[in-house]
Parts: sequence; structure tokens; C-alpha cells
Amino acid sequence: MKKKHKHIEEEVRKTMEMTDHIQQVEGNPFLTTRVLQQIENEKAEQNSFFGKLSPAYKLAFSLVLIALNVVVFLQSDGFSNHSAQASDSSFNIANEYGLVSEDSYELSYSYLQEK
Amino acid sequence: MTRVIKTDLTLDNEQQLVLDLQAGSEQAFRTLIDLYQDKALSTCLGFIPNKQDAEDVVQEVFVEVYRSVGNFKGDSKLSSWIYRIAVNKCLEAIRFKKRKKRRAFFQSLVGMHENNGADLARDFDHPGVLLENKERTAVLFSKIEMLPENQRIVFTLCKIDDLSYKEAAEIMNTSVSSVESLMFRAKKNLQKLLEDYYRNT
Repeated sequence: MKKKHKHIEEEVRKTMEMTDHIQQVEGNPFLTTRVLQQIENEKAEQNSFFGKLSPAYKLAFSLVLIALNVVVFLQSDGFSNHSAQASDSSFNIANEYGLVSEDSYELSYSYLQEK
Repeated sequence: MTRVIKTDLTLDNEQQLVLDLQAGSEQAFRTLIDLYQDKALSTCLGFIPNKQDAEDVVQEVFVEVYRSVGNFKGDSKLSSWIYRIAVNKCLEAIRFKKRKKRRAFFQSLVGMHENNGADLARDFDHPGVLLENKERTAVLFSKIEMLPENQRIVFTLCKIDDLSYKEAAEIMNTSVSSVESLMFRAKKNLQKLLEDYYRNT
């Protein structure tokens, strides 16, 4: 038991002494380049439009963009109806001025019937 | 331990360097990195004994120095200020790593990640430690990591990085007697932790 205790003490002493055997380390020769590069990248990011905004403005800007996307998405059905109406009115105007041939009228008519 | 300090600036030179840095001189910044990168790396390796990780933290240290040099009032020595930034960056990196390990532990509980407990041996890559001392030094560092934060900082700065108690006190914004007291407790706790370790192995 006493021998074991002595052995543990010896191990602890040797391990604690390891701090005296750590050698000085040379730094990375490319550190300056790496640091300057990182600083340049950060500067470029800060100079961009989004980078200049404060975090609160960035969040608000993102929310506005999301809201706009949602609105556009929800209105997409209305948009297709609007396109169909616009297409019909163009056809009517073309028809009034005699710009539509019989064939194309029939084609368009059959297309409308299919719908 | 062989400690080579490239050069220590005189007070006048230091003041001039700080003024040049605050004026945005790139040459002054290059000089600063050249003067302090070995010291910063040595400090970072004391907290994070892995070359790659420590070098990444050193990079962060100098970026922070560049960002904050405008606020440097000259109340302490420039070297102490850089050491303080280095210590804070190291502690940040350690906290981040601990959070990552905790996540990995929970993942291992649900079988998503296998943790075989060999993290330290795998991560330990201190270039200043000779191969024959690697295993024992890795054990020492693993126990230093378990000390309370202030004791750990004092032990690392004074024993691993070989700074004087006065320098450590300046870096930690405390008195020399506090540093002495923290060092005493750090050694005691460390001995106890090592005794427990060798008793169970």
C-alpha cells in the first residue's frame, strides 16, 4: 500500500514537471498574410450594402423580403388569371383591326373551348 | 523550458508603434505581428494544445487587435493587452469546443455519434512537446482543463507560458497576491486530480 502511494506521488511529480520541458514554438510565417487577408475580407463585407446595415435593419430587411415573396406567391393565381384576361383583350383588339386570320381564330376558339 | 523573446519594445518605441497602428499603418501592423506572434502562439498553445487550433486563435487575436487598437488607452503595456485578448479568445474557443463536445455526447447517447473517450489524445498536438513526453503532457493538460477558470489562467500563464506573477496580475487585472493565491490552489487541485488519475489507472 505504502509502495503504491509512493509510486503515485512519483508519477504526479513527473507529470507536474512536464511544464519545464515545453519548448518555445515558432509562429506561422504566413500568419501576417492570413490576418491581413481576413481583415480585407471583413472590410469588403462591411462595405457591401447589406454589410453596412445594423443587425436590426438586416432583420427588418429580410422580413420585408420574405413578406414580399409571400404576397407575390399568394397572388400568383390572380396573376395567371390576369394574364389570361390580358391575352383575351389583345386577341379582341387584333380581331377588331382584322389582324387575325380565320385559321388562327378557329385555333384560338377551339383552345378556349378546350379550356 | 527555453523561452526566447524576440525583442521587447522600449516605452517610447511602444508608444510610437501604438500611434502608428491607430493611424492605420499596415507596416506598423506587420511589425506588431512579427514582434508578438510567437508570444501569442505560446500562450494559445498553453490553453489549446493543438497547433492548428492555436494558430487559428492567434489569427483571431491579431484581427481583434487590429479592430480594437483605436480603443487602446495605454493604461497597461501593449504586450499585456495582447495577452489579455489572447486569453479571452482562447477561453471563447474552449467554451465553443466544450459546447460541441456536449452535443457530441448527447448524440452518442442516442447512437448518432460514437465517442470513445480518446478525444484528448487525438487532439493533443503541441509542437513544443517532445514525442517521449507527449503522453504524460497530454494527461497534465487534460487535468489543467478541469481546473476552475481563474486557476487555469494563472497556472497556464505562469507555469506553461513562464510569465512572472506580476505580468499575470497585469493581464488578469488583479493583484500579485491574488495570483499567488490562485497559483497555490491551482497546484493543490492539480496534484489531487493527478493523484486520482494515477490511482485509477
